[in-house]
Amino acid sequence: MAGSDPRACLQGDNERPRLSKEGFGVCSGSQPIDEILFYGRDASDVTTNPFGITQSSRFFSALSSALPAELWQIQCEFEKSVDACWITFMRASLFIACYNDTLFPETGRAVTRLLERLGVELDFHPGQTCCGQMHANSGFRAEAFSQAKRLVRLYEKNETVVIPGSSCVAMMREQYPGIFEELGNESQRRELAAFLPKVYELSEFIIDKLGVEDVGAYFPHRVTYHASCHGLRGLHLGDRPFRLLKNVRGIDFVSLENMDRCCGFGGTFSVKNPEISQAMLTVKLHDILSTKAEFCTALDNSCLMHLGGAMHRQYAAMRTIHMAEILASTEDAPAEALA
Amino acid sequence: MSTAILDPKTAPPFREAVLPVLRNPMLRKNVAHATQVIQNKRAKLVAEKTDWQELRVAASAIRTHVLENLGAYLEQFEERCTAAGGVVHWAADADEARAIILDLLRQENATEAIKIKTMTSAEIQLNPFLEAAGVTVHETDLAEIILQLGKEEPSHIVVPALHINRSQVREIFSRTMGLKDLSDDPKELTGAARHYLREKFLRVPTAISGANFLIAETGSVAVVESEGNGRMCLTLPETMITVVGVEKVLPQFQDLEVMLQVLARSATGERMNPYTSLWTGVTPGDGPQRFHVVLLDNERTSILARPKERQTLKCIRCAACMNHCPVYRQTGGHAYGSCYPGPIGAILTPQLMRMHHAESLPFASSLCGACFEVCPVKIDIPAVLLDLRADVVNVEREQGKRVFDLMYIGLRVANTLFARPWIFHTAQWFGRIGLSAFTGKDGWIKWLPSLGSRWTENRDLRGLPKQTFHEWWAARAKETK
Repeated sequence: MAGSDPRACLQGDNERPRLSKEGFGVCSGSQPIDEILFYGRDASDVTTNPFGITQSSRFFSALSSALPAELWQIQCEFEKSVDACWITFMRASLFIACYNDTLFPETGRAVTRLLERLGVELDFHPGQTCCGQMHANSGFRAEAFSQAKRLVRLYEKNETVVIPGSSCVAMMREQYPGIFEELGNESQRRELAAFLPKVYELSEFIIDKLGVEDVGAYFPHRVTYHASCHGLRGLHLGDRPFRLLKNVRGIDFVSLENMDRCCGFGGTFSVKNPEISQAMLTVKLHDILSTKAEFCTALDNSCLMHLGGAMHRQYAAMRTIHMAEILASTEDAPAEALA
Repeated sequence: MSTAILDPKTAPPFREAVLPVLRNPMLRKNVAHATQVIQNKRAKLVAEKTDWQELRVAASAIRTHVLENLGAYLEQFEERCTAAGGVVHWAADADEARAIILDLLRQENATEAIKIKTMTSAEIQLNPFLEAAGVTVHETDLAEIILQLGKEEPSHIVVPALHINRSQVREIFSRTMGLKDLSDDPKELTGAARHYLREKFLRVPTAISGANFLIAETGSVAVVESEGNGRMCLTLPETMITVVGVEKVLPQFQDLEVMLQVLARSATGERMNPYTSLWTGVTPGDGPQRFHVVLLDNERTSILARPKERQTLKCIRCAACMNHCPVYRQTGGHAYGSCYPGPIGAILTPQLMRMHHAESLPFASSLCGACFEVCPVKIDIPAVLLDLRADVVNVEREQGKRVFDLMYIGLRVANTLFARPWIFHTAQWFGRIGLSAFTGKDGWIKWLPSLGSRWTENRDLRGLPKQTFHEWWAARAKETK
């Protein structure tokens, strides 16, 4: 079945065809396979892999580091057409923090849409609740530990955990080791050591694990980015958020003055010291509103709850939106916030 | 003529102290401007050091090593300093330090003393004590003069008068020095201060200083400063009394190579501070002929005994943490109720005060991490803040305090919810019903009672959506089956 239908080079059933080593070989001559495999990628970094087909070098390095050699059988999912073809080589479990589950379910929905579009097989433990940050930051360390060890055990069997909230990830990386050291036993510390490398913040997962910068999003709006403190200084996300936003079609990105400054949320700080929290918010909001953007985005809904709450109170001409929602947005399926 | 000095013993808690400051636009603008200027200068000079991170690692390693061997290095310092003609005194607390200093001044029949800016003297409330004992103290650092003459309180450890602007300085000088025609031209202002100081330098034979570093290897004392007033105090007087915290010792002379590089860049955004004075005991015919060092413990060894909080003592008082702190930048130093404000003050003051203010200061931070990022000796201030918070809560629990505190009840309830998902999910459902009473037609909450009002004072809260994420996930899974 040579010709325009790329499915011709696939072996197995049409539902979920499996590409074997040979399958790649057959494909390489007859089809523009890199277009199939690397939808939305820049053709400039195409190289040849050991299977004899062309592919993105960045993808190849991500793949080879992610999977042992015997697993280099790439699954390919087909929906309607060539454009809907994505590589499935990744499984991940979502952690949707307590407040995201309760207050911002649209963020979890967007992450699901986005990552499934990128070919990731997602699962979700309905028993997940909270990472324990609120308790740890309030001095309730024993409670934080009981939540932390519960969470670590819950994801014991998962290979990868994706979290669309930088402060939860920072809690795990920065605070879990100390808390487990103080309150845990040897086997709990071993569980933690196995858990931490599996944890990815959303932008880390897309760029570092999937090796993707252009997620095929479309969001024709003026947007500014607020770097949450935990993402910036805790996780050192660096330019990852900008690389993802840069590739969103239609976006009018405007950078933010004094981007490294805290918005004043700080969890319970915002209610324990509301006056100073609000003073910090006022200063931050001035910088954000000066961008004249329609949306202020971030990788953490906690800052956005703070900023968005103030914008709403002030009838400001701006809204907040989690970056997952921008990245999930396409021409066919715009972000829920636009509905 | 006594400068009011912030006293943590009597200072109100942070949340209370912050209110008048937040309503003082001039102070806030002065603080924001000054910290921004220093921040920019620092950023430029740190950027030009390609080995900045290595320098931080080295500085941190030196300070950590010192703290692990503090006793030995202090004894070595005492031995070398004594051999060079200095006299070393050990003061367990502020009372002892003040008594020693007053005693030394009495031996000199001193009724006046000139001072180099020193944080330890502010910590032990030395000026008011000496004034009460009949010794007039003249500050010689420009900012300290401004504070002393204006009866103002310091708000920063490097730039103590940063909350005061030029025209306010003009007003203070003009009023206290009787200079009616003084303008706010910086040259004229420093000229007035110089004139005021010169007479003191020439007349007063006794000086009091702090120290940035003690060198164990040589028994030397180091003071770094910008104006030369320190150099004057170290050359003209007959007697020098240096009061210094025990943690300030460095093992070797060579360690200054690292410390001076990180200190100047972090503190004032300079490659090298303008004046670095080093002296070792007494040199006949050169400088003060009587030299005393008062080594001040004042709870430092109790901090040393706390393994997690010990890193607090690595501090070299550069103030980079406060210049970069989003809380300090709004409040300035006064709200912290101590001569040590900002993030370092928030961890140091409670530990120096046997946990007084521990229930407020360590909580006065959004944990944004800017302080840790810029700290030249890598003190993980957010981690220490968290440790102190945990200590406070543990003590409160042991003593059965705050059992009925709403926030504490909330945290205990939340912990129960998070332990069992079905309870959490039930609580979400009840929460949705409960909050719907407060949710407006637009789906937003504008007012909440009790603790919630601290949020809704200034911010709206979006009402709870009809479906949580886990409900959506379950519904979707059912559909696709």
